[in-house]
Amino acid sequence: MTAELPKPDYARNMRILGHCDQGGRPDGVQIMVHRGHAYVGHMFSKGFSVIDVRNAKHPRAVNYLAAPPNTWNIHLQTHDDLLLVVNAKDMFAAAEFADEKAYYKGQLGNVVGTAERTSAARDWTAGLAVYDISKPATPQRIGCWLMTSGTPGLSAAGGLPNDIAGQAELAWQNVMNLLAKGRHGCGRYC
Amino acid sequence: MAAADIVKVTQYLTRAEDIQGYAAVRARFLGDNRPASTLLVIPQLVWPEILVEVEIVAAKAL
Repeated sequence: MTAELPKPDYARNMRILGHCDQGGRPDGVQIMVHRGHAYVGHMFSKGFSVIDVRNAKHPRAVNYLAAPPNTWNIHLQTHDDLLLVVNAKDMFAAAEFADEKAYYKGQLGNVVGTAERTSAARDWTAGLAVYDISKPATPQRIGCWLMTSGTPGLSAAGGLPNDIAGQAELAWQNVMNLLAKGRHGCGRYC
Repeated sequence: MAAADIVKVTQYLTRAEDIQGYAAVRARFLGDNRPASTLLVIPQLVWPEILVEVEIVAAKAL
């Protein structure tokens, strides 16, 4: 396999020992290694993969865990036997970035809609998922950490009461709806 | 999740005289739950007519 790989243009003092196509998802972004297993967050494939790297000459993909719809897991960290995985909006799955150049132009909040005045429903999942990786090849999701992005007292249609009682009521109702239904109305948070 | 899973609340008001009215609404939603809480009175939120913004952090073991 290594003989088929292109020779690096600039790298020196490094030698390729082995290669893995990340289980057919060769778009890893962040890698953490723990107990001889690499946890790889994907950009375009969403989710993350587990690669057994105990034999450096023959790394092999042993698992892939998909992210929720329209969500990517490009950031992750291991800590002892815990794996922390960030859920965030999959920017390149969004219609706003059909032309990838748009990602690098203008103010991101305006482009993705988070700067809009209405509290429109979101179609991605935000938060931090916690996995037990005491069995490294088979992460088990054991918890999640939900973070709101701020809840102004706006109704779904963008209406805004002009008194504190009305705004507080809407703000807290939004909080309770988020807690009860999750981002997708299906009860899944991360 | 539910109110019992909220671990931290951060609240922003733009008028100190609204604290009492805001707290009455919050108490109704939180019930007997007492998450960590920070309340700030700030000059303005993103639009001047917005009087309150609430952020929460909630956690739940699965």
